[in-house]
Amino acid sequence: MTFWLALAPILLILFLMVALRWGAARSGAAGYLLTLAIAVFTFGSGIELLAYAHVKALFLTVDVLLIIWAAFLLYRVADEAGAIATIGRALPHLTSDVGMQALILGWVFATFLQGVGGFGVPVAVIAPILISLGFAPLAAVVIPSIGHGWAVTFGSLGSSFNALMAATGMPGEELASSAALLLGACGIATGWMVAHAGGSWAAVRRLTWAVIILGGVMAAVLYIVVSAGLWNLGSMAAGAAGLLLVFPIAARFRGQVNDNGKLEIRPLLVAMSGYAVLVFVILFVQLVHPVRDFLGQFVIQLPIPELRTILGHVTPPGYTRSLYVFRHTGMVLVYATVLAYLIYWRAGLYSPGAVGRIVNGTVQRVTSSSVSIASMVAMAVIMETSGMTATLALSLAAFVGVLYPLIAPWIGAIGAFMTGSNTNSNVVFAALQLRTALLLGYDAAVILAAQTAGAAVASIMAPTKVVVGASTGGMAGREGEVMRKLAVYTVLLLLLLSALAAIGVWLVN
Amino acid sequence: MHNFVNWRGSLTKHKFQLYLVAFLMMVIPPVPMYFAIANGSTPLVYGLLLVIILANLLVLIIP
Repeated sequence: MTFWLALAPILLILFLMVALRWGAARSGAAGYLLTLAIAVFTFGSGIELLAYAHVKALFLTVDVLLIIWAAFLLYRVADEAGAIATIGRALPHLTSDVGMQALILGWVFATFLQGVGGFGVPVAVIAPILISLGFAPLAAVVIPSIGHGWAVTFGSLGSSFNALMAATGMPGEELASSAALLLGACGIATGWMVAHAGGSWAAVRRLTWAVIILGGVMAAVLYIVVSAGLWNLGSMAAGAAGLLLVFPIAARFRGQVNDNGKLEIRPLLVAMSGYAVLVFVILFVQLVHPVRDFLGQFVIQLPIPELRTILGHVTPPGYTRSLYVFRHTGMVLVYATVLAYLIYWRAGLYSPGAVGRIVNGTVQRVTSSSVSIASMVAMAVIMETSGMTATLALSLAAFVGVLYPLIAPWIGAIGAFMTGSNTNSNVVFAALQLRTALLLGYDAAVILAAQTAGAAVASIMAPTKVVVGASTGGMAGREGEVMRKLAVYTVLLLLLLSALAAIGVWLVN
Repeated sequence: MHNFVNWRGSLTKHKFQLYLVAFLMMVIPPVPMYFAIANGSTPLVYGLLLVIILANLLVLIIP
């Protein structure tokens, strides 16, 4: 009985978002209220526990939201300058091979866009470009949807990965390389899927080597960058490496038509410079230790005493998440955003009133998602401190036992499907996955990698994302077709992840 | 019926402001809550918790 009550908030969110098509904010609020009621009346949480749980949740919320706000601000700065459109227009000039165009735009460029922006940006930007190149609307929506999924965890400048660290309290160094390995494998598989969706089996065969080389390099760059501790740059660096590599590769697949147009290099370089500045600023802060130490002087952190429910579940004493005010990734992104703005401004890319449009666009876009994250983080922390997560973990460990690595990616996937976000899935399920892994004696890093990778690849077919993608690609009202098409690819990627997680656990143990 | 439609329309029109208010009602109370619980001011903690609950109820009614 307690298992079902502990599961009830998660089931409620799933029901509200999938069956009733509520948004994440409303569903999160409903899930929070139900969690609170169950935590008090069934799991015996007192007022002291709830108060401290909300304080912990506040720190986690700010930690996650700072990155999301700053990442979207940077995207708006680049978009307002026309940088995104310039990059998007330049790429199809490289080849007239339909399959190769799908790979360049729907996979490599989608990876880059997910790295720097996220929030549905890859599909919104790429689908119209693909339609203008002659792709069918269904393919134009499906291609970038599949193509960016593998980049979600380390995309949006690492916001989902940051949520994974925040929700589990585990250091990024322990989690990053396992996650990069699983996501890298998915990335290569994704390349074939994009070739298939963009062309046919013939395109898959013709472009096999292009996929292996591009996918291999992007996966390797992702692994190297995040293993070096630069997880905020992971997907962006992978996408940027892919973009550099498409020039020589596309030259071998220029297609039948020789007229691929003239590629304007200067506007492309100016457009990319905003993101080059971002790389520079992040590297500067991460690698120059005096700067890193200077910015890291001001930390906000509060002690939390031991928390105990009436039923005897104990949360040991500890601290809230540390917020490094001036060294937080979100703040680093703000520094980069200011520099990027100055570069675009100097290049004369802004029309009057740009600052107002950038700020307004950012605030309008992030407010409802901020509400949903605040509710869901509070819900997840209350579940954790009241013992609901532990109950779920114990039951799952008992039900599934040794097969747990096989279902770990599917749990992440369900979370992403129901909340529409890899970040939210990590917030809701990462603590549960960690506890279950520890109970069963499995390597936590592998199970959490499966969690976030499953969430990443399944986030593409969350109803909220599909609706946005379909509307930008002229498929409004035909979301079912998009979802059916995406479901096949997503299930294949999840099966791959299940196998890799099982192998990973077996190798480590 | 007409009033209900007006009420919903008004909520939809001010969606952004309502989300902003709800968000602030969710993230501000935990700060005084920390000091209130440390000082043993339980009634104040209940009051602040109520604000967070009201914020979530507000989000529920935003169309």
